[in-house]
Amino acid sequence: MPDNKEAGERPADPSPQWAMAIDLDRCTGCEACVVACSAENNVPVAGPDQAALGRAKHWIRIDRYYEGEFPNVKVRHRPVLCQHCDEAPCEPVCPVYATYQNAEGLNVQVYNRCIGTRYCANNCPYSVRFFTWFAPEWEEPLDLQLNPDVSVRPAGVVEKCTFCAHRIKRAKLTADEEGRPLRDGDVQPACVQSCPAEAMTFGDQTDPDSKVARAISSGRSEQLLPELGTKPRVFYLKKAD
Amino acid sequence: MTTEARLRAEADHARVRNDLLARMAGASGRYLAAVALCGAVVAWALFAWAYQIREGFGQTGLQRPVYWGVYIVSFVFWIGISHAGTLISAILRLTGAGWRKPVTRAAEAITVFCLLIGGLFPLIHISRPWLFYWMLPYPNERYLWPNFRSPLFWDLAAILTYLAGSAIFLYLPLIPDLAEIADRSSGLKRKAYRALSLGWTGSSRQWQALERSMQLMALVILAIAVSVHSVVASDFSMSVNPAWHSTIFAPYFVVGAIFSGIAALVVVMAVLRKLMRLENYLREEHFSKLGKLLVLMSLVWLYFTFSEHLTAWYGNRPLEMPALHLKERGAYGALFWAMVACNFALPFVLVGIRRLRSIPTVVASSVAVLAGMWLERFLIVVPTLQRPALPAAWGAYAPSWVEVSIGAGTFAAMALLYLLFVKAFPIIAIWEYEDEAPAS
Amino acid sequence: MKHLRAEFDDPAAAAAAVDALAAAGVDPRAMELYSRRPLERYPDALRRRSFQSLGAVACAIAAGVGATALMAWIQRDYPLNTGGMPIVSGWSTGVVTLEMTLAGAVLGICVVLLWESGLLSGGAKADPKGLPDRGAVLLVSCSRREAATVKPLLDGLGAAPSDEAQPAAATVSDNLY
Repeated sequence: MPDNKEAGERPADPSPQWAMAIDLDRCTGCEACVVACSAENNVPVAGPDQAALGRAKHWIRIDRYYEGEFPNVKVRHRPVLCQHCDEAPCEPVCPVYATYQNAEGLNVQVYNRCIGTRYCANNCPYSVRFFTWFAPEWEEPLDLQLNPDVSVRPAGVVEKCTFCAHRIKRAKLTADEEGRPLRDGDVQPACVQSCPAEAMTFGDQTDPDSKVARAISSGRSEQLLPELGTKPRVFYLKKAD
Repeated sequence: MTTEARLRAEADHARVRNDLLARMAGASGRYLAAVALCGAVVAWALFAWAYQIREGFGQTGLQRPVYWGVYIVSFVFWIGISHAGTLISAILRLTGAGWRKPVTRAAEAITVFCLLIGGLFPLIHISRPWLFYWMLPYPNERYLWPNFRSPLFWDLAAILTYLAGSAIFLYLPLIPDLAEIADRSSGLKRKAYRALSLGWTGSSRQWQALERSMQLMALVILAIAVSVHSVVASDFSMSVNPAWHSTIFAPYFVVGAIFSGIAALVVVMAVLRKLMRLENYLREEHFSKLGKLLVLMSLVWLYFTFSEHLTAWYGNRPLEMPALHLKERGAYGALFWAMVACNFALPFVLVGIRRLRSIPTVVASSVAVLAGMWLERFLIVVPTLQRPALPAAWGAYAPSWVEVSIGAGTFAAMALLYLLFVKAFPIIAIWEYEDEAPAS
Repeated sequence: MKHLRAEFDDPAAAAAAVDALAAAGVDPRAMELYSRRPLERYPDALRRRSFQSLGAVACAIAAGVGATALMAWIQRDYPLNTGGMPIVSGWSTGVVTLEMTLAGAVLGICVVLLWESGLLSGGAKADPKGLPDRGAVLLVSCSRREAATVKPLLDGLGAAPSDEAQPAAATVSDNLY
C-alpha cells in the first residue's frame, strides 16, 4: 500500500523530484538519444510498412522545424519525450489507474493494468504516448540485446518514456548498498547518457545544487506548451539566436 | 356510448388485436431470408472481431496520433440513436400525446437494442477486452478499484443505468400484452408467456400500479437519457484536445442524439410498415408528426453546430485552427458540407415544405439524417485527433476492413434483434392502442 | 375463497357498480375489477394510496449517498495522484453520484411496483376467468351467505338504466366459484 498520505497535493517530503533540462543550444539533432532510448527500453522497430501507417515508435523523438527560405534557413531541433507533467492530462482519464504520478513526480505507466482504451494517448498534447499494435518480435539473435531490467510490453498496451525508472531504481539500490544518499549525477537515463553534445541534464529539482536545478533556474529555461497548464518537468533552455 | 357504438368498438378492438397477434405468427420465406442475411453479416463481424483480438489491434487502421477511429464514432452514434425511445415514449407520454401509442413500443425496442450494440463498442475498441471487468468496482486482493474520475468510468455507470432503465421501460408495458398472448396460447408457449407476464391478471390494483410506474419511469428515464449522452460527450469535452474541449458538447450531443433517434425511429417504422403490412396502424399522420419533430430538431442541431463553429473560428486559437481547417475546408471539407446538407438542407426542404411532406420524403430525410449524424460523429472524432498540438505529430487515418466489417455487423445485428423481437412480441402495444378513426 | 363474478360491457358501469356496492356496505377489500385495458376512472373504493414516489426518492437518495460514500472511502484508502486532481474531487465523483441516484430511482420504482401490484406474489390469486375485450369483470369474494345479499344488489345495478336509457348489460354468475 502506498504511504503517500496526501498524494493530491504537491509532496513536501524530501524524496527526489525528478526533472530534466535540455539545452536547445547544444542539441544538434543527431538522434543518438533516440537510438539509445530504443535500445535501452526494448522498443521494437516498426518496419517500413508499419511506419508508413504511422506506427513508428520513438519514446524520445527529435521534432525538426525549418524556418525561412533558402539560403536563410534556420533549423530547430527539439527532443520531445514524456514531459512527466505535474498536472498531466493523461492521468485522470485512464479508467483503471494504469497511469498516475508517483511520489517522486514520475508519470508511471503500468503495462499490466492497461486495458487499452487509449484515452491517455489521445489526451497527451505532446503526443508522446505509443501503443503496441502488435506483439513485438525479435528474431534471433536480436533477442539477446534485450535489456533485462525493462519489461517487454505485450500487444495492446500503451507505453512511453519512463525517465528510465529502472535506472533510477538501480541507482537507489546502489546508494543503499553503499550506505549513502543519492548523489547528483547518479541517475542518468539512456538519452542523457548518450547525448554527445551533453545537451541533456537529469536530476533532482529540489536539490538546489544539482545541475538540473541550476539549469531550470537559469534565465533561458522555458517549457513546451505551458499555456495548457500541464506543468511539465522537462525544461528547455532557449537557443541563443 | 350506445350499444351499437360499443359493439362496433368491441369488434374493432378484436380485429386490431387479432391483426397484431397475427403479425407475430409464421415466418415467410422473405423473413427467413432476412434473418439469414443479417445472421451472416453478424457472423462475419464476429469473425473480424476475433481476428482483431488474435492478430493484434494493428489490424485496424488506427495509428498515432489517431488512436480513436470509427469504433468510437459508432459507439457515440448508437448510443445517440438510443434516445429514440426516450423521446417518443417518455416525453410524449408525459405530455399526453395520444399519437405516440402505435410507435411507442417500437421506439422503446430501438432504445434497448441500440444500447446493447452501443455498449458493445467499448469492448470492441479496447485492445484487451478480456480485462474489461477491471472497470467495474469490485473488491479484490490487490486493493485496486477503477478510477472514478475518468469519463470512461462515468460512461460505464451511465450506460448501465440507461440500459437497465430502458429495458424496464420496455418490459413494463409489455406485461399486459404478454398475459394476453398467454391467454390465447397453449402448452409450452402459454407457460412461457405466462411466466414472462409475472402472473398478470389485469386487476385494478395492478393497472394502477403499472400506470403509476410508467409515469415515474418516464420522468426518471428522461433524466437518465440527458445525463447519458452528456456523459458520452464528456469523453471528448474533458480532454484538452483542440476542438474537443468545448462546453457546448454535452447539450450538443444530447440534441444530436434526439435528432438521430427520431430519424432512426422513422426508418424503423417505415420498414415495419412495409414488411409487416401495418399501413392501417402506422399512418401518414404519425410520419407527418415525426417529420415535424425531425425538422425542429434539425433546426436546433443547426443552431448548436453554427454556435460551436463560429465560436471556434472567431477565437482563432492557434492550437484549434488546424483541426477546424481540416474539418471545414481541408480533406474533410466535402464530408462536412455533405453533413450539413444531410442534416439540415434535405430535411428542411423535403419535410418543412408542406406540399413535399409525405411518407417517402420523411423516410428519405430520415435516412439522410442518419448518414449525416454518423458523419457528424466522425468529423468530431477524427480531424481533431489528426491535428494534435504539436505539428510534428500530425497524422492521418483510414478505417481497415476489420473496422468496416464490425461496423456493418452492428447494423445487421440491430436488424436481426428487431426481426427476432417482432416475432416474439407484438410490435404495437395492444392494450394501449386506440382506434382514432372508427370509420374504417 | 369463493367469488361472485359479474361481467360488465362498459367499464364505467363496472366502476360505478363497485362504488355503489361499497356504499351499500360491501367491504372494498373483497372487491376487485379486472380488465384488459386500464380503466379511465377507477372506483373510489378501489383507489389505493401509493408510496411509490416516496419509495423511488428514498431509494434514489440512498443509492446516491451510498455511492458517494463508497467512492470517497475507496479513493482515500488507496490514493493515487492523477493529474494533480484532488483525491476525492466533488465534480468528478458528482457525475457518478448522479447516475447512481437515477439508478436507485429505477430500482425503487421497480421494487415498489412489484410490492404494490402483487405481481410475483403468487399464492391465492383470484382468476377472473376470461376477460372481455373491452369490458370489465368484477369479482366479489364472499361466502355463500353473503352472496345472497350481494347478488340482488348486483342484479339491481345491472338493471339500472344508463344515460341513453339502454340497460347496461351485467351478467352475473348464478353460482359462486
